[in-house]
Order: sequence, then structure tokens, then C-alpha cells
Amino acid sequence: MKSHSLKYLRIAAGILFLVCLTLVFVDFSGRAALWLAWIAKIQLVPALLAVNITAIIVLALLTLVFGRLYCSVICPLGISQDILIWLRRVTAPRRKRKPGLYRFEKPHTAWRYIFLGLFVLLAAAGLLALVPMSFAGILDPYSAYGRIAGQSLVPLWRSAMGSLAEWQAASGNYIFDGVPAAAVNFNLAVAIVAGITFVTVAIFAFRTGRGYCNTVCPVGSILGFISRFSLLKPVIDTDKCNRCGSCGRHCKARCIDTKNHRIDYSRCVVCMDCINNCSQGAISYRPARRKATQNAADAATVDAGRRSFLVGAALASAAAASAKVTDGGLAPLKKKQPHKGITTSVPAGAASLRNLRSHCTACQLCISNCPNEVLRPSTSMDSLMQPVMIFTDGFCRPECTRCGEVCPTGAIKPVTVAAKSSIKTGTAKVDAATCISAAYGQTCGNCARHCPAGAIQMVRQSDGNMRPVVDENYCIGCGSCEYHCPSGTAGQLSAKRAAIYVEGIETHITV
Amino acid sequence: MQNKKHTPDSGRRAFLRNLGIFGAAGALASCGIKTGDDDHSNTRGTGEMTMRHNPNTGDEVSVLGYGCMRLSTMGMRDGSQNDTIDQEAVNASVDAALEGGVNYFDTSPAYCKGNSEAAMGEALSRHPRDSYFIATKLSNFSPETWSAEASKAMFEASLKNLRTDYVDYLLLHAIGMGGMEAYENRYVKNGMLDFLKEQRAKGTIRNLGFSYHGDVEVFDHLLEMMDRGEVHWDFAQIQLNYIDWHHAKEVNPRNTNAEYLYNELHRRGIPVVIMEPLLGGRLASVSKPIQAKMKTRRPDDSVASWAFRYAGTPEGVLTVLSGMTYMEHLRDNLATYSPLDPVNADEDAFLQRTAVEILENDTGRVPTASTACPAPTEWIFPAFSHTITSASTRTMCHATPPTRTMPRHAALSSTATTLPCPRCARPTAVWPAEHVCRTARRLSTYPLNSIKSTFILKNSARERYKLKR
Repeated sequence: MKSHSLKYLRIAAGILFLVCLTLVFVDFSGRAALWLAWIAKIQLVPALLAVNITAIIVLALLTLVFGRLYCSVICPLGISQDILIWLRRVTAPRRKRKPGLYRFEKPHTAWRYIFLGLFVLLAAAGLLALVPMSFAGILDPYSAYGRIAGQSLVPLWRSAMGSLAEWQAASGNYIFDGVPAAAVNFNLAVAIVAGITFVTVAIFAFRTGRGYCNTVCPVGSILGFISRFSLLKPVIDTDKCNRCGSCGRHCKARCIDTKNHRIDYSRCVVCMDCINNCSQGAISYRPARRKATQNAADAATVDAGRRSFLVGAALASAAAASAKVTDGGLAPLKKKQPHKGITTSVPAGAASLRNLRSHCTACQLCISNCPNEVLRPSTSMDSLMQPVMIFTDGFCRPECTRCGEVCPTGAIKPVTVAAKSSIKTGTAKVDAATCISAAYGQTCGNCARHCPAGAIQMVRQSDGNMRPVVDENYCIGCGSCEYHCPSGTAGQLSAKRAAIYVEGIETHITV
Repeated sequence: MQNKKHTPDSGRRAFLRNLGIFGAAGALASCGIKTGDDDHSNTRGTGEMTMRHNPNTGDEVSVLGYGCMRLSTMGMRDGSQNDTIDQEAVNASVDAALEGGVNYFDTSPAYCKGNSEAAMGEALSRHPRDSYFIATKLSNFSPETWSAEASKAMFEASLKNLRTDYVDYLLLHAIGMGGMEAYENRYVKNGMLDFLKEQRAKGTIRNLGFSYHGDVEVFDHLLEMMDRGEVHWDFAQIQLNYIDWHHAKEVNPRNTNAEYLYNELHRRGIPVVIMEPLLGGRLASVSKPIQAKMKTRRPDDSVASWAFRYAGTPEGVLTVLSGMTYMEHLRDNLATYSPLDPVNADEDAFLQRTAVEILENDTGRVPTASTACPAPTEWIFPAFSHTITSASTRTMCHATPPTRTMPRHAALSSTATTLPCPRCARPTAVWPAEHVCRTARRLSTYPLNSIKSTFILKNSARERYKLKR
């Protein structure tokens, strides 16, 4: 293969990976997750947390052979930066763009170690559950991308699909799958963190190329240790080089010291731009210690690859659907408020609050994938941005095990459907004062009727009203009762919350 | 620290005793104003832990005792099979228990594969030694430990593991198991009883007692020894719950009614420590009709709380042991006992009727170690799968007559294989534990006309399909 094709191969692979990973986030129907969730599982930090030995070895070997290809092809934040860098280049005036936008820079070694040290410190504190692992996850590039996508592309896509679905449903057409705009998940805490990350990354990308990857990103620093010793590298053939310096000025990693013919391989992300920018054909991607072959690739036209590419079409129909949600034209429905219990509920595969807290880097993949509208990012500081179950928009269906299937870090482990139906994640509690049956004497029993575990029954109180009671041994904490409870939803009651709600438990129990 | 036993009337003890009296008065007052269920739900768990007085050493013991037989494991934390003890969880649980007023911790060298004492030693040693009472046992069951040296070494190891130089409560562990012969071998022939009495005189043991399972002859013998003045038992530990009170023999022919055991001890002024208040977890999970009756009376109380209130009600009870592996069980028990609302005469009659109902209609006979089928635990006999307790996967076989069949299990029958029952050798349909133990157990409680049945059946079918592949 000619050296010039390598760049386009890298771009194609990078876009493929980015689009596929984004699909896993965006496609809440779960079809993409079924086939593509492995892309999340081969991300370095999640693989380390999940002790995914295969992925770790493969990534180490990949870097040892090809250099930091990971940063150009696998890492979604890296590819996103490449897109930003490309945007900057195509918008730059020709007189600046032509000679190249960058110049060689010495590595900010001290900063690299400071950020890596900070990350290791936060990760260690996370593993010991002193702080949630999501603090370390702020620096993890994959999780950062997840948060950015989860707070921008996912709500956009879902509300667009929701609007389409509502529009088409009016004429009896149900081909679209989506949720009403009102239910689209947008979380301020995550949005702020994601926003800050995005702005930081964008500033770095516009001003310093891959400066974020080579100074701040801990994954970049870790892979940098290995990539110095990689087998294949871009190598400058000093016989051919005419010291024009073009490669250095086009290197977004700013790692080519053209004066001394040196490349800092700990920072090189093997984007191959230098190869294509060298008019003399002096740079080739080959085993470093071997002498450059004389029959090197002939110089092709440098500008051949300036074709434009698009990541995806912008979604036009993001107009918020303001249709009033009603139940068969009866009572107007309002949004229920969640209960604030002593303990939060987390999904079945998490095993315990401790496990989730010490493993989740808050990439939002489970939240984006939850088809039941039950997983939401936490806003509390002891589990910041990590998933918790809120039962106002849905309940954790016993037949769904999606979050465990997609989670790359082992914070939520995969469980079988049979196992899940008897993993207790919480216990329902009754607030009889707001129950329309116990307190108001209405015929309801909705919670008992919908309980998938058969744990709720209605018993007669001394005043003759029926009241729900919960068998704490059969209740698995799925939240169906809280979701289906009319209290807090039907307009005529002053209650803001459901009369039956789930109190989480710290360690899950197999009942 | 060791001479504390000799100064039982010190100022601190007197103060604590007075505190206890006031606490009891407060509890009585709160019972007095009770008018109905609604009042009850407001007072539950809002007061101080009910304390009981030990006349021998003047200890004020919380009526809720912390059992250390099933401590949290790392596997519980991360969903794996790792059964090393999760010290962090144990520490958190012990801290919460102490904060809730629990001050009696019951362990043994035999618990948690021998790791319970060390884990409790680590957790408790983070608190002042006089803020809690440690109970441990001389668990010299194995003939290798019958010699005086081995038994003494076991006691010394207990002190070392518990990081203390004295034990507040020491028990001869499970006397009655193996009859008089085992008792003689374990404690009399090797002189261990005399050794323990010496230790009590020295203050290394503050209270000496025994726990009883099985042959009542040994129980009677020990009490006769006390009547003859050969030994003084400071306390004794027995199995007491609303089934065992009158129906112990129906559960296990070797057991003795708790009514007899309790009265014999109480008559002699021996404080009684209660174990198995839930009958191995069985009384935490009752059938729907029984549950409905309980919840009608006290809607916010757990099913288990009835058994705990029952066990704590007799005045001679020093403490009721509960193995609170999970924080929510601890919280529920703290609510039940802070303060204890004793079972009244009407409720007592209700629980006695419930005991009969459970034995006759609910699940046939309650599985215990003696009636459990020795089949491997991954084999589940579906007709009885609803008798599996959450604490242990004990099963029953043909040797115990079924009293109720569950035709809905027929839906799962295609996965069954026929194997001879290891106990009675009759051909028995055996279901893979994966979906019968878990899925079918829940299925058994479903109303017939419910869509839930189809829902779970659908899942079972999916699992079955996976298994076939």
C-alpha cells in the first residue's frame, strides 16, 4: 500500500468508529447497542476498570506495533478533535492554511505528569469509594465524549424522533419510534461538565491542534509511554529531506522537530498528515530501525485528499413538541416529582451502590440506552453524573437487561433475565396519606395490579378503605408501583409525588 | 478492664440501670397512648432502643443483638462468587448498629468459615471496649478439638481474634447436638467446664452460659447441675419464635418447645438470649393470606417484624439475635425495637393461630437441617420450591408429604430431567435451579388471572430456549 493512502484509511476507520459509537449512544431502540457496544468496551479506561484483559492486551499490542493509532481511530474524543481541527483548517484563510498552521513545540512534560497523576489519584480514590469514579471519569476521553454526545446529540435525536412520531401518529402512522420532547433527558449537572469539557477541548483543538491529547488526556499520556517503542513509525529520510519544514507546520500534534529531523513519538498520533504533506516523499511509515528503502513511494500530488467529508446530517426537526399529554381526554396529567429516599436505587447488575460508585466513569451510555426512561444521571455529589433509577417516567422492566449489556466499565454487570427478575434493588414503601385509595376511598389498586413481582396486595383498613401493602420479601424494587401511581400525576390531587415509592438498598439481594 | 465484673454497682452501671428504667417507662407510656394502627405507624422506630437488664453482671443489653454468622462478602458487593468478608461493609454495619443502640454482638469461631471473629474484632476494636458486649462460643464440635489443649487454644484464639482480653458472654456452643455423649466429651471429660468457670472467676469471661439445640436431656442436665449448685449459668441461648413456642416437634422431631425451655430458664432467673427468631428466615416470608392479616393489623410493619416483636416480648429475654447482613434489615430491626412494642394478648393469639396455619396450610413442614433433602443445592424440587428460604437454599423431597401442588409449574416441565431422589430414591423431576429456584418461586405467588403470569412464563420460555441451545 502506498504511504499516501494511509491517511485516508485512518480517516475512514476513525469516522467509522465514531459513527458506530455515536449510534450506540443515539439509537435508544437498542439495535445498534446489540452489535456495536463492544466499541465502548475497548476504550482504554473502561477496559482497565472492567479488568478486560483481552482489550487491554490488544490495545497495548496495537500501540506497540502502530503507535498511538488508538488516539486517531478508536478514541471518540480524539476523532472529534480531528473534526474540529479540520473545521479550523478549512475556515482558515488560504494564506495561513497553505504554509501550515502549526509549529514544533517541546512537550509539556510537567503538565502531562500533573494531569496523569491527578487522574491516577482520583481513580484510586474512586476505587476506594472515597469519591465517585465519575470524578476520574471527567478526564477520561471516552466518558467525556459520552457526556457531550449524551447531552447534545441524544436529546436532539430523541426529540426529533419524538416529534416525528407524534406528528405521524396523528395520521395513524406509527413507523417512528421516539419519546415526547417532554421526556427527553437533559441533566444540568452533566450538561455543565460536558459543556466545560467541550469548550476546553475545542479551545485546545483550535489553538494547539492535539494539545489536549498530548498534555491533559491521561490516556494519551499512558499510550505515549508505549508508543515511543512502537514498531511502525513515521520516519524522516534525511537523504531526501530538503528541510522545507512543511511536515512540522502541518503536524497537529506539533511533535516534528524539523530542524533536527526528530519526531516525538510519545505525542505522535500517527495521523499520517506529514507523509502526505512532504513534497519530497521523505517521510514514510515503516519500522523505525531499518534504513529507509530507496524505492520509496513517488511523490503524489499533495492536495489530492482535500475532499470534504461530513459526519452526519444535521437534524432539522428539533422543534419542541408542545402537545398536551392527556389520558384519554380525562384528567389532565402533570409530571410527577421523584421521591428522595435514604438510599438511591441502582440497576440490578450494579450489585451494590459501592460497586457502581467505584467503577462508573459517568459515560452516560446506560442512560442513553435505557429504553424504559428510568435511568437518570445523579446530581448528588457522592455519585455525580452516575446513573440512578428515577421512577417518574418509567420503571425498570424485569425483562430488560440493557444497561448491563452496554456498560463498558463493569459498574453494571450483565445479568440474565431470569436472574434479574429476582434481584432485589429496593423495596416499595407506602405513603398512605396521599394514596387515593387508602386516604380518599377511591377504587384504585393500580400498584397492586401492575406489580410484576406480585408483591403488593390491597387490604382493608379499619375505616373500610383499601390500602396497598408491600411484601418486602417479594418486592424487587422495579418501581412499577411508583410509576403507575396516580398520586402526583392526576391534576385534582395536591400531592406532588407518588403515594407508593421505592426506597433503594445498598447491597442488592437475590430473593 | 477485667475487674469490671467485680464492681457491678459502680456509678456508671447504676446510671445505666436508671437510664434503662426510664427507657422502659418511656416505652410503656408510648404503648399506653396507642389507639390504633395509625398511631403505631407514627411511633415505630422513633424512640430509643429498648434495653434489658442482666441481673448477674448488671449489664444493660439492647433487646436487639447482632448475629455474626452471615457477614457481608466481597461477592455481595460486586456480584461475584467471592466469599471473603467485606470488612468495609462489616465496619459500616457495626457502626450503624452501635449508633442505633445495639450493644450485643454474637459470634463464634465456627462462623463464616472461621473468619467472623477476626472481622468483628477489627470492626469492634474501632470503638471503646465498654460500649458493647461480645458473645462468643467454645465451638469444639470436631473430635480433634475435644482435648483440653485444643479447646483452650480455641478460646485463646477467640480472645486474640476479637482483640480483647475478656469476653462478656461465653457459650458452650450448641449443647444437645450429639446428646449427652458429645456434651461429656466436649466439656466434662477434658475439664473445659472447670476451666471456663476458672476464667469466669478471673474475669476473662464475665458471663458463662450455653446455647441449646437438639437433645433436651442435656438441657435438663445442665439446669439440674445449677439446681444442685455445681455451676451457675449466667444466661442461656435458645431457639424461640411463634412456631417453636408450641410446635417445635412438628418442625424438627429433635427440637423442644420453646415454651418449656423458656419457662425452665425464666423460673431459675436465667436471662434468655434468643436465636432463630425467624426460624431460619422462614418467618420473614409467609403466604399471601397470612401476610394480608398481618398487614391489616400493622400495615407499615414488615412480616419479619412480627417474629422479632414476638421473640422480644417475654420479660426474661435478654436479647434477640438477628444476622443483619444487609443494612435494610438492620434498619427494619432498629425500627422494630426502638422501642419494642410488645405483642399483646390478642396479637399473641393471632400469632399462635398463624403458626398453626403456616404448619398446616402454607408449606407443609418447615424445612430445617433435619428434614432437608441432601440433594445438591442446585437441584430444586419444584413442588416445594416455595419453601426455599432466602437465607439458604434448603429443599425438601418426597419424604415430606406435599400439602399443596402448583399446577402452573407444568409450564416449565420440558426442561426437567428425571433423577432418583438421593433421600428416598424415588424418581423425581429435577429442574435446573437457574429458573425454578428464582423464577418459579415468584410464579407461585401470582394471581391466576394476572398478565404477570404470562409475562414471567414468557421469560421462562426464553431462558428455556437459551438452555436448549
